[in-house]
Amino acid sequence: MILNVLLSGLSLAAFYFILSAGLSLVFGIMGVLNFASAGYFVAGLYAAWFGLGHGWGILPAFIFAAVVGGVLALLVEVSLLRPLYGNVGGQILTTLGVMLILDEAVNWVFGPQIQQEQMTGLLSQTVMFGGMPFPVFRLLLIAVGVLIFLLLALALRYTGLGLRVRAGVDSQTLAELAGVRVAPLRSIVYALGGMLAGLAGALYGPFSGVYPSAGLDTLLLTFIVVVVGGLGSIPGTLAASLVIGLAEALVGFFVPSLALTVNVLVMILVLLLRPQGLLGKPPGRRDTHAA
Amino acid sequence: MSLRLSGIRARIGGVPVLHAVDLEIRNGKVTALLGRNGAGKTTTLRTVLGLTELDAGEITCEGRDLSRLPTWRRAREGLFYVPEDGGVFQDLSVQENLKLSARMPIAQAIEPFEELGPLLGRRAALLSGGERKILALARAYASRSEWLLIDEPSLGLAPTVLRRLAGAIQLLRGRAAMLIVEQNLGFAQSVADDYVLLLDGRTVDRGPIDTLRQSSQFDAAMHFGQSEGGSSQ
Amino acid sequence: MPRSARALRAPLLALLCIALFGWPWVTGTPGLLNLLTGGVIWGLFALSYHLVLGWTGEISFGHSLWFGAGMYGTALLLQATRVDALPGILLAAVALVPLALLVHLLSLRLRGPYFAMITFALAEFAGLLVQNATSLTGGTNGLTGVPISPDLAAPGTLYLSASLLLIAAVAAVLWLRGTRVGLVARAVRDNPTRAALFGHSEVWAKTLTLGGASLLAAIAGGLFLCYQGMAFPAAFGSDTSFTVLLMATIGGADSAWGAAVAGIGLYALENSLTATTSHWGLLLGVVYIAVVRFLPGGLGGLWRRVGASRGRAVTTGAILESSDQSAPRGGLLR
Repeated sequence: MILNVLLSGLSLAAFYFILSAGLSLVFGIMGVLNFASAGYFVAGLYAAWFGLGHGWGILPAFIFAAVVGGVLALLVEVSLLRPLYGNVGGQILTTLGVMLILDEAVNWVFGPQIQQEQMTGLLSQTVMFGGMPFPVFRLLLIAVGVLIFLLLALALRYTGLGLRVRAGVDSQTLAELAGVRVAPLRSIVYALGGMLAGLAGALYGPFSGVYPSAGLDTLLLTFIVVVVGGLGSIPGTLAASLVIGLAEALVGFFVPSLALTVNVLVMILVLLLRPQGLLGKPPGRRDTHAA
Repeated sequence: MSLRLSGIRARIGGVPVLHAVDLEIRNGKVTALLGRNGAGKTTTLRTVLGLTELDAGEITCEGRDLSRLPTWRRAREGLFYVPEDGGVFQDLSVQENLKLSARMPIAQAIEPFEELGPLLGRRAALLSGGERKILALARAYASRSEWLLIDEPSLGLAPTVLRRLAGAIQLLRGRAAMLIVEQNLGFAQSVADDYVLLLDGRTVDRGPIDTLRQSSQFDAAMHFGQSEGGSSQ
Repeated sequence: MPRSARALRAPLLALLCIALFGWPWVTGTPGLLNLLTGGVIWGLFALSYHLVLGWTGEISFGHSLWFGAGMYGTALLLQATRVDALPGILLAAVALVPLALLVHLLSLRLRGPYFAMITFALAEFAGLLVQNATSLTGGTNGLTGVPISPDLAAPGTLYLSASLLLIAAVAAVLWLRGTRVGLVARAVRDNPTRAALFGHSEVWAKTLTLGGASLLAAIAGGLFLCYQGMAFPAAFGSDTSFTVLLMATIGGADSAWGAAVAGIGLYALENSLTATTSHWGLLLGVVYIAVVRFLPGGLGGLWRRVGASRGRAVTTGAILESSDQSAPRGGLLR
């Protein structure tokens, strides 16, 4: 039984990680709190719903969701954010505007009602763990979460692009001084953030339904994960996802009425003890080389 | 083979800092850019790299105009800037720091900097001040940059480390032209061939470093320079 | 602030008074009175956000927390006691201040984007609590049947009270700006390190300013309760926070009257438009992007540019940017 609870926690953690990793990465390289990520999330949610509704099968539908999120993000970065380079505050307000527009556009086109997504075949089944049924879809969620973490971590650690991205996150000025062109890196990372948000949206549909305000509803969790983990840190995001996901599952099992509260309590606790987040750096370090 | 600055003007936050900076550095030579605090030494270096916007004047590298190029293009043209804290990537390992701008195998790059060998896997944030400066020079060496601009290499270093640093600069001398901003006159005299004196945003005199004390502008340009040597702009 | 702009302040206020008090009676349209009453209340709310944006230089994505708290606090107070509506609103708002100070003291362990996120999370959390405490708050249906005494039940007197409160609040904020309190707040905003050297604690200065902002927001929330006749959980929602942020941004981060005017205008615009379109969010999003691009200093900045005075406009963008740099940061692979 406890195994079942732990697996639920892990599947939540996997979802939170995919949901928040993009936001964290984008903050790392752009310094932008990317509200629009909630918009790409909703776009991905509906894209997957559309694909599944047309009998595409889960893999093409989910890839489609990620692509929709990524393409939207790329368009936004190139047309709206890039001209505001150097004006971080303006960029944040712009991403807020993009989120509002995307949410409302989805609401306009598909209506405010909740659509249900039906999984078929193996993914609609459950397996028994410790005498309790556990949905196969949630196992898939864990697998995808692990896969995304490994891909991100390995790509950042072992590829040239990953090295340049990390250099840009460390200091954009120093990266330029080392001959790295930072502008395309920003576009790439921002589009990647959009893809992850879109994929997270696709993964959200099967267990919570498809509705326009889903993005805003999950934004709270994203922010909690990112505050707890430390902005811009992928391992921090993973650690925070695990803490929040497992705490939510365990507390939800033993004290169901506190399930929602526990996230916020964890966040407040972390803030009190470690304001920079689990794996963030202490405040005060600036990019001293910036103009 | 020369990097030439002519008639450079620049502002910081709207306040004019550089009024007329003219200088030239040549391959195989180390030029010390000297002047008291606030004279515009660091701003001069930053302007050459495009970190501070150029108001007027020209920066040419072997006859090509660099003034309009973005920072990353200037870096690819062979300009390498070492800010006073070394300018290494804190979150990257020593090896990754080298790899980012290297145009030679890492093993070859650290041959002259053997003290970095055991540190390759260490995060640069954990290096000592001296190790960080050595890493910065190793990066410059590995990048085969032809124009090195080094801000206050001696700042905050112990005498033994200074000697090591002077050795590293001698090593790079044969491969690049260097412009070094210094407050420590002794160190400047031990590594430089020439000097350029900067006073209130203007280059006022230049010559071989041995004749520095005879310069008519020396007192005006360097007054208070030594006593404030510890602070930064 | 240059002398020319200061001289403009009194006539401007007079104009504001005339517009506020005269217009509805001149036209005598109940619809307009209704629209302007809501607008004036949101003007007060936007003014409270001006304290957050312009005085502390922080951005809050959860200012709705204090609007909602004032609304529900007043509602519960009016239900439980026989107190009149206006004193009830003020009482509830003042009673919230200690809680607000505690919350801000805690939140201000963070700055920049982290502060913005924690405010967002706290407001969302409060909204969830209110929705789940059904027996006390009526849950998602809201709290109806709140007894509102005649002093604020009639549209005319509600409008008058709200306008008076708004004008008093604008005057108070403008006056405070020139006093030591305002100077310390600005010193702390612009250079916390240097201000600390002069003995001004950043955290305390900002906590107190945010406490004042919460007080005004709670009063606006209480007034809106009387205006709507009910308390509703959407008051805590992110839309509320985003809208008030937009109002203060359009007003100009450095301009108290700009925030108030933008609050009135945007509310009136929203409510005249919702009659014709249900896609207010779409317009809100477009306005956000457009303001950032075309009106970076907001109305206040525009006014200053028109007046050709050279005051450096503080933009929302600049504020976020400066606070970003001191934010804690993690390494990607640490």
